[in-house]
Amino acid sequence: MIRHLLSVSAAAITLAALGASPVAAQSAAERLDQLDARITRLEDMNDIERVQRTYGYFVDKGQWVPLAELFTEDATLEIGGKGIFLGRDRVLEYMQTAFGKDGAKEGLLANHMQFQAIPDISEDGRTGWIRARAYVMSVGWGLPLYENAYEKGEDGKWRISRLTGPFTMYTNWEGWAEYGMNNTWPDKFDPPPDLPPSVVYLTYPAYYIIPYHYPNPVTGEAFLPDMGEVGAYHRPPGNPEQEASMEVGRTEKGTQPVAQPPRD
Amino acid sequence: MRRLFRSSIVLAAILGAGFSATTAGAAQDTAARLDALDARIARLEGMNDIERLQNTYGYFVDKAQWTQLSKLFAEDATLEIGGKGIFTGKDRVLAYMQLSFRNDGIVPGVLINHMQFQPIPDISEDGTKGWVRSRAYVMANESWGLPLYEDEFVKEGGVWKIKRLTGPFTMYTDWSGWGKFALNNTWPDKFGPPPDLPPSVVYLTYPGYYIVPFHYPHPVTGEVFRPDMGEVGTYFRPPGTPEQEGALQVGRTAKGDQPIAEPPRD
Repeated sequence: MIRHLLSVSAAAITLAALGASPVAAQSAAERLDQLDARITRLEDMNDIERVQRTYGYFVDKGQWVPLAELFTEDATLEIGGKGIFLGRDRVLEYMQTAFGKDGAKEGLLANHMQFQAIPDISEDGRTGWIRARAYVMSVGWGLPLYENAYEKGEDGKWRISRLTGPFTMYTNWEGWAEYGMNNTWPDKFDPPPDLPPSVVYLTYPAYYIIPYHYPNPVTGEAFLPDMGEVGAYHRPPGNPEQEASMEVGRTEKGTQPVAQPPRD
Repeated sequence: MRRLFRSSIVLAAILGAGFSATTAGAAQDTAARLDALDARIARLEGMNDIERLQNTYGYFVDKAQWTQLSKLFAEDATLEIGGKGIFTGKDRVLAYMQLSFRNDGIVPGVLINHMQFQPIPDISEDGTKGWVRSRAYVMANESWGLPLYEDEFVKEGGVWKIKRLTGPFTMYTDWSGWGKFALNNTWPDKFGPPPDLPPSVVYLTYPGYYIVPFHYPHPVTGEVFRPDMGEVGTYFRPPGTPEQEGALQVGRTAKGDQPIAEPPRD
């Protein structure tokens, strides 16, 4: 790469010396454009990570109004098994109805620590994606895993256009070795969603691999997700145990003891 | 964007001028600056790329995606986790994972979350090597742990790969928590498969401690971190003191663990 760039520069100088400069000038200008595009991509990656991290800080303290302003007008939000909320106004309603009006409540911890981001930006620089996760310390502990999309607005600002945060594990104070909540569901708490969940799965002790938006960084292989209703991956997809696990119901509390068959 | 566009016009004007010593010199300066900018951008991109590998490694461990995981490594990569010793080559990375933790795919009731954060990425001058110091917070079935990575990366054919993964443990505990119980380390024959080489360093985890050498100098003073070479044992006390000498003799219990704040059983 460096050798190639040096030879281009050398050619530019030579052509300038000969007075046959237009081609050389264009290639130098092209190079500037390419460098510009690479810098813009890095800046965009930083910007969407900043939005994602800020989302976490706003959840921490119940700052729902500024949180909703991180979303595009037509954004979607889907957390756990609760279903899909359509539009920025519904994002705000979801947060304020489910978790109370703006402001942290005394005695309430809702820490959403954000990390392990894998940001990507589309070729045209208008769309971004992040795989990331949160470690939640609240009345219990939990592990959301995000695959989110972002859009760059006409004003040059990045906003969340889709937030998808399925849970890997949620537990109460006893901890994950004693107790695991298998997921939330649309009517577990208010408000009801606009659309049903995009995928039905159970959390730990079952598992669900959230599709990766990016290919294997070394081989370039795309991750092929199971589409539709994946249920819980108690067994590899496609075998009888996995088929059966799709029938596993929730208990009335939506929970199941770890390492025991679900009560129903 | 606008600023860069304007400078490209200036550059075009410079390059478009007829021959003179001045313009040739200016063109050379511009070309050199372009190269310098390119190298700086490539460095930032490289830092992002190696962080992406480290983060992806974590996601693949989460769900026991061992085949995908092994493909993140260079052919001649090495892997050393805890006190288990060194595995040499990409195939052995896969063998280590599959033989220690079963085949690909997680099984019911298994949690092996490897949350990755706090990376310090660096790229070599020539842009072909990289390093990351970072850490994981592991939530496993009935245990928690703290690996600390000092990893090396290599750029082959324009693609970054993991060249060396070194993940000594700071602390590993069972469900009762580090205030009650700590595993003092793993060792080569604790579980299969056996390693290709012995551990590069022998140390104990919490309540002992071992400072994993920093690949980078102090960011403010530029002072290089000087690691203890060889068998460092556990740093109960500063290296060179009698207590530290004594700590080198500390054996493991049959289970490889020891109660906190009590002398090791043996």
